[in-house]
Amino acid sequence: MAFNLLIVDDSSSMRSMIRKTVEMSGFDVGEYFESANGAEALESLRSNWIDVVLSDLHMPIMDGLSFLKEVQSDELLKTIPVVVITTEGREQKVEEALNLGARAYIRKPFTPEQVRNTLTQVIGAENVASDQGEFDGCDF
Amino acid sequence: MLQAIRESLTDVIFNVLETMFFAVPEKLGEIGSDEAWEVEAVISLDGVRKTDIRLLTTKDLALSLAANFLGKEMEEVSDTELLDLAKEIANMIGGNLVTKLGDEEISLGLPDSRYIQGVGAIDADSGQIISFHIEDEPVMVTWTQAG
Repeated sequence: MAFNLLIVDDSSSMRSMIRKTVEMSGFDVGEYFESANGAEALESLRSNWIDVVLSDLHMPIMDGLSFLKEVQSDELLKTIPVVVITTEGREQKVEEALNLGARAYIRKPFTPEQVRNTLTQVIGAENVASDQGEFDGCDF
Repeated sequence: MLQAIRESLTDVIFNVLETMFFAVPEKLGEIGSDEAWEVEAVISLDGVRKTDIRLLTTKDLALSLAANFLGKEMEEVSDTELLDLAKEIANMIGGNLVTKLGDEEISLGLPDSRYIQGVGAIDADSGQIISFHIEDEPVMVTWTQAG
């Protein structure tokens, strides 16, 4: 069954690249949504059916940790899995994100395989087409 | 501290460029003083001492990296996309440097980028420098500490 994905990052280039990586991974994505910060992402979550979120932490207006707090405080939204994609790998930051409900995290820079593996772990292997997902020769 | 930053920053720059752009830095330290820098990206690390990290390169290299990253032809990359990607490279370098330094007191500022003109845009004596080439185009990373 197709799932809807929200990509949250203040960099439009990074959002495009993440989307391309997910597409190449063979996930059965119904609809893609994009937001440039946590505030926009909350609006998107409240007005669209979204099954999983990939979110940056380091963003203007509302950062990823504040976004996670808002999601956790909402009974409906907190059931949506959020995967954090971050340049920062300090234990304190990662633990804070996980304590705020993030299901997993991916460090930037990342390889396409890391995105695929983490997303597979969060949404289940049944959402990945078996005949796709090869990154040989991929240069983003 | 400066030496620690130099080593960590070099590792981080190489890791970011190789992992996300398949770009291999070459000819370390071989940058002339008359290079014409055209694109600048900046990020700050705020801690006991504020550290500003600046990346400088040519528009051709920035275009090439952006085209690869976005899966486009170079002529299809807009100025907005080019500067956005330069900012994101600074962001990844800054974030990974903070992680590598392991100092919980440092916070990462928001990155910025812009077009610049001419060799006069950088005062090489004002900070520490790491320089190299990618695809025969020069790249210079400087960092300065205040406080």
